[in-house]
Amino acid sequence: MRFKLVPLQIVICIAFLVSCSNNLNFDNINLEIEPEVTSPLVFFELDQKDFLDENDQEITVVSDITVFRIFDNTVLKDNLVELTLDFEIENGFDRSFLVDFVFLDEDENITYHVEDFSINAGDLDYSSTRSIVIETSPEFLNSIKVRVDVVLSPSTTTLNPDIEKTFKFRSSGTFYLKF
Amino acid sequence: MRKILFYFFLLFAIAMQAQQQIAFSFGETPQTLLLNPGSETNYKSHFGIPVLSNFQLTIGNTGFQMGDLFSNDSRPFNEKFEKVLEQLSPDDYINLNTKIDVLNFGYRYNNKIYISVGFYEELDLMVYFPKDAIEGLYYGNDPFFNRSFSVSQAIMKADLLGVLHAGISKKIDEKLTIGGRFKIYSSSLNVETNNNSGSITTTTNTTNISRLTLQNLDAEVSTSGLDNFSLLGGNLGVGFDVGLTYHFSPQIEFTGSILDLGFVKHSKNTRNFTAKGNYVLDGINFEHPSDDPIDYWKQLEQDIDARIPTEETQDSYTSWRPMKLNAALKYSFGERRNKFCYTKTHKQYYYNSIGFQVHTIMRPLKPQFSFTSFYEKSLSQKIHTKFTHTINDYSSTIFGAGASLQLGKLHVFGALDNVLGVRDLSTLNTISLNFGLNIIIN
Repeated sequence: MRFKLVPLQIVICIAFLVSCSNNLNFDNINLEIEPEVTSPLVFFELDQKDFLDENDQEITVVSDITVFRIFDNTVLKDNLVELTLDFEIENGFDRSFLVDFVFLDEDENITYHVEDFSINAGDLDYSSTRSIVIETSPEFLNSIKVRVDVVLSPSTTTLNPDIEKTFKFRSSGTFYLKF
Repeated sequence: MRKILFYFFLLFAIAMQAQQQIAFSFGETPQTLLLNPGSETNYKSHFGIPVLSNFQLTIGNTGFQMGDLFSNDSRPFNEKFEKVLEQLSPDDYINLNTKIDVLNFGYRYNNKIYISVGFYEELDLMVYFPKDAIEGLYYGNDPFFNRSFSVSQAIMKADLLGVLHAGISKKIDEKLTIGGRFKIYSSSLNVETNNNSGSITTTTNTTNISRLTLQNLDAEVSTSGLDNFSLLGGNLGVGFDVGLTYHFSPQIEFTGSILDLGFVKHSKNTRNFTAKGNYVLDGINFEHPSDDPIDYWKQLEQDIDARIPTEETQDSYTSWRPMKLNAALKYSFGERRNKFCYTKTHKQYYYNSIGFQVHTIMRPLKPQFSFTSFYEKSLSQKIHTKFTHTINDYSSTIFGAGASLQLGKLHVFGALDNVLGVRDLSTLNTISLNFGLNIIIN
């Protein structure tokens, strides 16, 4: 039994010689990586006692502040295109509020001021989404702190610390990156 | 004996996976001795041309073909990339293996014993596609609420090492030849991570709008040679190869081998990294203190450090070599010739043979199998060819060709696997080359 090998050799030689790569294109390699990264931000809960001092006088503004060093990460800082902030607020008070969400630099100069939220009395389902576009607000990248001011709006309805009412604040950020 | 060998072959065929090696059991070349120390040698001595005596390169990936990413059409590159990413499985991998024989020579001690020694450098890289991590980096976590991104998909092993070896093959009788090879490994570089666990999940929550949960993280990366890299790294190990050739009849031959049954003990220039723990991130909880402000950021960093402790050590560790198992059954037929071998001996051989091979490499996730059918044709006493068809993880249409040629005392060997892939690069996802120059003295 003998195989006719010559045709097979010819086929293989042709295969080596007629290697065709013209159906491939290596010039068009332009991969744009645009991840969207979500992270929880600040949350808190306040009750009526938080808006009264030791003499039961109303405190108009309750604030807190934190360092927020995410831009120490240069990968994030150099490639951030937009940050979307989602807010959810439950206002169990019989009073309305304004909420200020402010980003600050090292010296506590404002780098970005999210437009005030106006929360009506008894609004348990408030939500809002705000966007910070880096191209139009480049100073935002200098942010190193975030402060939230909850401002109690004037009213004839007085606070009663003996009645349990809460103000819940939740926030989340979605970072749109482009590499 | 036949029964034992039959079960031996069956064991290989059933239990293992393989990589195509055209050189295995082919042409009684010096290269064959490195793939089977029990292969038959019919020459008096051989000397490898330094650095050129054997060069072997295999590159492959099971995830995609070249055309999937680089086809010459109007589709944006991102679209092609996303399609490939969608098709990828965490079992898919990239493998690069190359071996260069620095020194190789052999000498016939007597009619029955052939001794061979040498030194080769080997680079072996095996990286599994961590699909979850790639998707997480490419898309981010926002499109994937409630999906667990697995840390266990991070599996890789990279080795660069020199191998000093000495082997002996002994002809027991006309039917059986056995052999073994002792190896001393000297690792220059090793990076490996395997058996990691843990997951990262983004969910909605009542505490805050979103929650990031890192669950049961237990990850470890072991390295040696990253600092103070040198070709003779000094992390030593030992291993051995065993093999045999058995003729059931003058026309039916079985060859089998187990290679790199050994390990390297890494104790110099080691750096190992571990991370363990659980963490739930709801964000920063403002407590509105009436007195001193709270450094929430520092608290957060300390909390993460406490719950997910990371550690860098310089502990020793053991790295097992990827063991290979090879087996071939060959039926020879056609014209029968006498071949002049070493002093005053002759060997009868046939001009044609067909057969079946199984090659297996033990890999971190699972063995890597190849099943190969082959046809060998001797064009003359000095020109031998081999044609193969291989089915493995990469493809079911891998056609290979090899030839060995004797020009006086110079023996040239060359092989290419995946001829179709070379012809049409768009279908290429694996290629294997083998080349060798040796002086053979009969």
